[in-house]
Amino acid sequence: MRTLYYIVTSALVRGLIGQGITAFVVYQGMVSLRNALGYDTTQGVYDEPSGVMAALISVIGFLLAAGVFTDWLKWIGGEDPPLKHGAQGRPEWTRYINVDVNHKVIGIQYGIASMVILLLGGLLAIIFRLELAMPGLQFLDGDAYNTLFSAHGIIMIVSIFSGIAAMINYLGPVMIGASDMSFPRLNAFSYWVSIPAATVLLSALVVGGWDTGWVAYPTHSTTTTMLGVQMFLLGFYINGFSSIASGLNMVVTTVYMRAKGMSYFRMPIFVWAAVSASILQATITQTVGLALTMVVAQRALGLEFFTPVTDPALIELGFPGGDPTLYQHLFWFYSHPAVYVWILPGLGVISELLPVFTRKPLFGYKWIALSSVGIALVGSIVWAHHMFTSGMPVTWKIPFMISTLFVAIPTGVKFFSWVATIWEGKMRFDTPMLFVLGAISVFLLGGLSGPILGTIATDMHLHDSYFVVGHFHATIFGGFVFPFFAAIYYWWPKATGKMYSEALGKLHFWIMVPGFWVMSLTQMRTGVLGMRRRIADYGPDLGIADEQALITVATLAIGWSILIMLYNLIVSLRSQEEAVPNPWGSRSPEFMSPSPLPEFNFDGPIQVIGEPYDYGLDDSTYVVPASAAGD
Amino acid sequence: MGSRTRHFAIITVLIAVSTVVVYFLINLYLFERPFGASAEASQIETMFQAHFILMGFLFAIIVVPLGYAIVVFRQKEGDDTDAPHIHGNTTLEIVWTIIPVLIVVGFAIWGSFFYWDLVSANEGEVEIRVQGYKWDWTFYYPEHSVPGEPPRQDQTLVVETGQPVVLTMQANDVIHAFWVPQFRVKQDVVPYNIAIRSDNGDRQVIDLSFANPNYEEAAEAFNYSPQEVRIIPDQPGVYRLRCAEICGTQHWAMLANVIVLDTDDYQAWVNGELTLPADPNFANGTPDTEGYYLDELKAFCDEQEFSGVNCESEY
Ligand SMILES: [Cu+2]
Ligand SMILES: [Cu+2]
Repeated sequence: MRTLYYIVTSALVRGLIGQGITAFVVYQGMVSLRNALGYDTTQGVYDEPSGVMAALISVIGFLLAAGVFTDWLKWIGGEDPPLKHGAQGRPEWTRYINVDVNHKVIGIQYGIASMVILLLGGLLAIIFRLELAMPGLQFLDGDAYNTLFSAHGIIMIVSIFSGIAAMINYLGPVMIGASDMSFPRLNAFSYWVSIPAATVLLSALVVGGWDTGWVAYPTHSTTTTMLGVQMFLLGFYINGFSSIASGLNMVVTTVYMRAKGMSYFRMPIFVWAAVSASILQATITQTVGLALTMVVAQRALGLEFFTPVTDPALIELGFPGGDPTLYQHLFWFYSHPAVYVWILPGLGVISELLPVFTRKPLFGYKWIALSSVGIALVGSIVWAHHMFTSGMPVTWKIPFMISTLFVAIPTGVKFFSWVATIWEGKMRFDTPMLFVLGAISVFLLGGLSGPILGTIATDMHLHDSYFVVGHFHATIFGGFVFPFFAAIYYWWPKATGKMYSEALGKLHFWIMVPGFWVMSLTQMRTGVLGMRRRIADYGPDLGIADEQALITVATLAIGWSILIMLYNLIVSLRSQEEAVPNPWGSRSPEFMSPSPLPEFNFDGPIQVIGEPYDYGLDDSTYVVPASAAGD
Repeated sequence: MGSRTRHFAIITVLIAVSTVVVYFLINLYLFERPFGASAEASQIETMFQAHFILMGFLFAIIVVPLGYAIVVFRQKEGDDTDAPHIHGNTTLEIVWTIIPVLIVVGFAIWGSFFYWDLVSANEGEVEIRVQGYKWDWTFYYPEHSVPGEPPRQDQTLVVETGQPVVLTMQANDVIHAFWVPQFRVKQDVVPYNIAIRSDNGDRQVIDLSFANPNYEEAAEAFNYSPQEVRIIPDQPGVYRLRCAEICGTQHWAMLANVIVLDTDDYQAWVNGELTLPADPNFANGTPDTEGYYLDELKAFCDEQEFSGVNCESEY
């Protein structure tokens, strides 16, 4: 009974109710207003301009009802509210469903959100993979299929954003010896704004779905009659606020909150990756926001940004007509580097865990650190490689081919440095390390299938084929999913104080890694043979039915293995056994503190007196309590 | 021989062997290409081969040392000590930065010329106009049309062996993409709609559709350049054009037959003496696998004596 009370009065539930009520009221108000003005509001599943307005304002409704703005509103009113810490007299678990400013609570909130959303996105994939297991349409029609793959794409992207935010939030501050982020309230805002963004996005499935993929190219996205497209665009758009705010927060935190002696080149390597990703997030998200806004506006207000040349009625009014390719530039200017936002933290996890499990220093720390920055920089000037077959002039394509190939250099530095770290390392095969090895192998598949897409001549065949699907799934599983799972296993005892079952962890690994290899390589194979992406049926004439069935089987295996992981983790929470503070023998600051970490991470300030990865060197210490440093 | 040298000697041999094995695996099985039916396909094949060799080598150079280290250096039972304290080697880092830079620069230069060559005009090419719309394709043949009259059109793309073709493309509604896997070329097809111009402040509305009998003048007047792709078909057979850009409900079904014919057969088709197999069609409420009309395709292939892989229905 008490539990129910705590849930019903939580920020999460209040927010959702607030959002629902706001959406309803604004929608009804807008419809009546538009009716009064003589507009026809009966077209489609809902009235589009009213729906857009309702969705946007509903986000504010959520945030107000959840109490995310409370402190800021008090500020405006002249008060100076203190930061609230702890569960406010409620049980500890309620912190995760209430607005909390502690970076570790927020990290775990993101982590839970990421896993829940991942399961949903995975479920959608399994549904359409079952459809694709055989040629012919079995149980989905074109629209249902299109909705499913479009939703799978964007839902997974939201899950990834939550996942990297989970890692960056939980680990970032503690790794640099700080007690929290620079802007704890802004940090809470970043998390909480992503929840109403997700509900708006998911509402797209309820109001008819949409068929544009996550890229939403005009003129298809500006003309499709599947009205879920608006909610998808808005959900995507609103999620951008979360990215920008959390990116800024992490950059500022790293610059200003480092412990004494924690110079940039003595930070744990994950922080370098996290900061590179954060700089990207904070600076590129705006262009996709612009692109999405323009599509929303074209649909809802009739501003013809992307219609190649307009209809006679608009010409009479003096509109000169727009350019559908412009959208692709704006979109990919963000969406290519966004991929690096998703994978850089994961690559950071790989670099972070390798020394611990090989008992050897990280080979070429500075090179790895700077290669993250290099990837972020080069990755920002390659966007048009997504447009090698578009209407773009040839003279534009060639410079983008050249810049794209250069991404191989910093990526190569990372791979070679990892191999050199492992060479002569006394490797231990605990579950987190297995997932790191899985990540390297899978990211290698993604990396090696990249250059062939980077040269235009070969890309002409492979572009928009299933080869690309295989390629980016390998990149994202290798650069995000596997490292994220490695991170979950690795920091689980730190975050929860409990140890999971190694046997189940290994089972998860031995199903998921081979499953993924089979899935991704077979996807690439069918793509070379002529399978297009985003199709509900490939027909019997391509001769790829067996391969498609195999992909489906592999997908199911991956799905099951993830359920094993969740079972393993949830069961471990009930275990009586306490995990030791430093189960892996790490030198990192977070392992110097008890598990789970105390509210302010360390008992007192810490100080850095040595190098982070000096494994194999006697008497070398990385961090000590500042009181013991003696100066 | 010191143990370090021995390790390096072993992995060098293993890398060489794996490179070859992985290359053959990729080339012969994993990334098997569809039958090549155009001069471009053979040309691009060279670049596929270069990439496959590179893939084999890069795969080996990472996976072999990784696997070797896992097997040989792993923690031994009862050994709880740390590994040797090696924290980097600047020479090595520079080497594995410079060598990839050279490879990348090589690929960039080669790839640029290669692509430029691929898209440059071929001598004596004829134009065929391709129009994509939800969810089908129409082909216009200006060569076989009478000026001022509606252009000759067909639902099937018919081309002649050895005759260079420039395919100009436009879409009626949303972006589609032209892809014939056997030709190895792909090109987005972008909507044109209606064009306007303001000379002396006057605004004109002109139809730039390929279906317009006065298309040429209109295109010239408005400086309209549709997307284009060039091919020299060189293997008679029946292939399929597949829309490669998501375009809505029936995107998956946006197919057309592509038929490459010898000069004699091509002339017969021009003169209206050759019956083509049915265009794939999913609109008649037929169960969808029937809409691919594979039997018709096969019958046509048998009649024309196209062998094996030249005919998609042979699968
Ligand atoms: Cu990209
Ligand atoms: Cu299409």
